Amino acid sequence: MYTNAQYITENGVNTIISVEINGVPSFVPLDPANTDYAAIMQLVAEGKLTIGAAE
Amino acid sequence: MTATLNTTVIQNSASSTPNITLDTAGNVTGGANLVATGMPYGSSSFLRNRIINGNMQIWQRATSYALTNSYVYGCADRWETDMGSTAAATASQSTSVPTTAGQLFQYSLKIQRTASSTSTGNIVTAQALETSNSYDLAGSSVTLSFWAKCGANYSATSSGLQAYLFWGQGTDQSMTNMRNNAWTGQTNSNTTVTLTTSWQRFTFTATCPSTTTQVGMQWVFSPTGTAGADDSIYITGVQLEQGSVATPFERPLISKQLADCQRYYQMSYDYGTAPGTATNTGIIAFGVAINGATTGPGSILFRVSMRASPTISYWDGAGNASKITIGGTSGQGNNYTPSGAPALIGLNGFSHPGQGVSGNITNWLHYAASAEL
Repeated sequence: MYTNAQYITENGVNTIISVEINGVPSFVPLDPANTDYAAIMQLVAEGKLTIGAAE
Repeated sequence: MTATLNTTVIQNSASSTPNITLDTAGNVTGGANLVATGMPYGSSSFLRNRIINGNMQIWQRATSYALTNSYVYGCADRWETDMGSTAAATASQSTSVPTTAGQLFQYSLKIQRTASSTSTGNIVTAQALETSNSYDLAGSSVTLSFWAKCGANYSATSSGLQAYLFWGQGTDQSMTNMRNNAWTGQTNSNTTVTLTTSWQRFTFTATCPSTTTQVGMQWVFSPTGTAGADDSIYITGVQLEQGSVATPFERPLISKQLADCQRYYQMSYDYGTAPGTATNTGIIAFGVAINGATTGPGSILFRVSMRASPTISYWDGAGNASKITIGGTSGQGNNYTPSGAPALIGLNGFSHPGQGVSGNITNWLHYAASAEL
């Protein structure tokens, strides 16, 4: 469901996660109330997803 | 012993006007306020129904959706649908509805297993409520009511459809966690109803535990064998209310219901146009570049404040994902890469950087914003 996750930074601070959700390019704010963000962080904690560093 | 009271007026001896007037057409006219004791606060008010889009009226994303084994909001707003194991089913908007006068609906949600499929994973339709719309149900009787019927080849054992009410103790927990029984302190009450090919209204009353802070619900259709030509269920008129009585479905105006749904999902496309469609109708101008300079970010405001900072997807006018449209004196072009990503995403909007080319141009995009549970 969540693939190709990568942080986007602004002034050197991570602000958004760029990720494909069911194949749709999407941008997820770092807000625990956003259930995509919560799900992504849960997958990361379980070792099932890696978020790439910002380019 | 039964008896009939024949009268036209009931009036308190100390009152100067009738308390109740009865006419020959069967109408009852009250003289003043109606006070009903013993009714929980929530059940005695209007806006009783905790379910959003219970009458399957709003379909912003699409009117049909091929189920997957992921928990996805694919078609009817606020309703998640999925099929376990190898998914082989479709959810779609149907005009087959109950025809009982006074209980009419425009649409139902039809979920049909693909004909000839041997996949028998559970087919689930679910809705999770926000804590703000749940907390006051704690310790009360709660009644779920809905209209449902099945297709001619419904394969579930004994034509059963399972209905679940979920009780959780956290705050605004996700649909995914509800489906995985992973809400904090999650328990459930459930029943099985028997469908026929005719519409029936089903009701189910349960006690919401006193520790509950979030409520959800789901139906489970458990198919068996090989799917026939119409192995399906139809559902509409879903209501979840406080109290032990299923009151008539509380019909919302479409304007209110659309706004209710847009708290969780909204888009720039016109209603009925799927995100990613190639169209300039409704596309948003968000930035201007002068003499080829790169545009600064422009603001994009949401139509309704969202539940949480939403996930953003965007497209150009040709339907290219994560691209923008540029319009200038030499015409319009698509498939331009903006100079950055959406930023400052909040409950009421977000900003987006644009892209400059030669001359003076305007940047445009379509968006979809999701703050679903």
